[in-house]
Amino acid sequence: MSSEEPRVELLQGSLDLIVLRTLATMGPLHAYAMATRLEQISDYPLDLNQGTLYPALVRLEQKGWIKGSWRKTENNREAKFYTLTKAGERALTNKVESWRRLAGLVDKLLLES
Amino acid sequence: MSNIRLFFHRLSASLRGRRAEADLAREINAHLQLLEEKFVAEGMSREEARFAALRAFGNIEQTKELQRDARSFRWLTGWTLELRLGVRMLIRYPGLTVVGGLAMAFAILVGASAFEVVKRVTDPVLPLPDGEDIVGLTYWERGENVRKPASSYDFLKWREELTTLQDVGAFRLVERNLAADGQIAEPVMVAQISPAAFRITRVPPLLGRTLVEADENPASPPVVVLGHRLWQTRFGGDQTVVGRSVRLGEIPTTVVGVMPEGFAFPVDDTFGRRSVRENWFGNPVMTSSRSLAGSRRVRRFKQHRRRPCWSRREQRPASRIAMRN
Repeated sequence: MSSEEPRVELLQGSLDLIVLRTLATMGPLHAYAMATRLEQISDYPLDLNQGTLYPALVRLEQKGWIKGSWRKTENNREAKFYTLTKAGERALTNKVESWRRLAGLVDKLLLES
Repeated sequence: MSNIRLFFHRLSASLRGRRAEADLAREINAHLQLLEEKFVAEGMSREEARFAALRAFGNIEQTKELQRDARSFRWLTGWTLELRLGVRMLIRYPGLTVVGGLAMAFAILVGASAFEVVKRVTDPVLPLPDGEDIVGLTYWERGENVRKPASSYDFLKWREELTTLQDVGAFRLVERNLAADGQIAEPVMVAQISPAAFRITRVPPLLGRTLVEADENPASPPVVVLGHRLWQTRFGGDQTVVGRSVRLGEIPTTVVGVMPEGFAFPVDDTFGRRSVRENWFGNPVMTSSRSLAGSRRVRRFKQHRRRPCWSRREQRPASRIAMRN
């Protein structure tokens, strides 16, 4: 909540990819940990209300790409941890692929002088 | 495939909304506490930390709303609310409820009875065993849209050629003076009728017998079957009436049977002998516009109805057989 720096807005549709990728690298996480992780690795402050993760989580869970279960956190609090499923791994591969293509296209356009 | 899976997930979530809702509240609560702890660890007071957590999380109600949208079908989860509201309104305004209920009952009554009337007109059923299988046959002049009389010849042809009909009978109505044992002759309605008509009704006589095939022969003695009402009024319910001789018009005729009460096919007075062969050539017998032939149809009749019934319709371009129940 601090800053004059420009904030990064998440692209429509990129949230699914972000969640899947975060779970793939970090293992099971709860929503708060995911949000913290995003803020940590971002070079710029994220314009992310942490609540916006929830619709994405339920959508991904219904697609069968992630699975939620209640567990204890390290400081012994209850939280719902989400795990990437096999189907989620496959979906992630596809999504990464299509993201690379899109990003490559945009980069190419930007590099044109 | 995954779309179908998604659909069922959302459907089941819509139906189990309460549990999913509780789960979400619990999850958000846990999230807020974790945030709060983080801010406390960073040196905020509890109070400050709580507000900071809420700010970081964003609009909680909006989050829940978005999650619900993603989770289930809103139109489906909304209906219980609508239903409850509806019931409450009905209870709150009982007068309106009663008036509305009565209005609907009345409307249903009117609709149902109109339907019943239409059904009776378009698809009447005779009050006889398997009455729905009995149909009437007649000619229908399509150009003028009127019924045309059928002749004895037609009847015999129908009986011979209409293979989808089990049995074909015919009658015509005449008025004759009936005199019995020196009584004054009084006119009665007489149905000159073929024996098949009795078979079609499947109603056994109260006394004696109905008409049989032999009665159709012109050489056979004239016979009559009495209707129950006539038997009561003119013969005093005489149990020995069978075998008595009466005069029907100018012709001495023998009473061979009495039909039970309520039998009227097509009249309830008398059912006289019907000789079709006496008018074999020339004059049509069934000149009355009320002439028709009763018949009992078999299964294939419905197919028959859709196709032209008269196999030699080329010879009768203006007429077709129309069939009605």
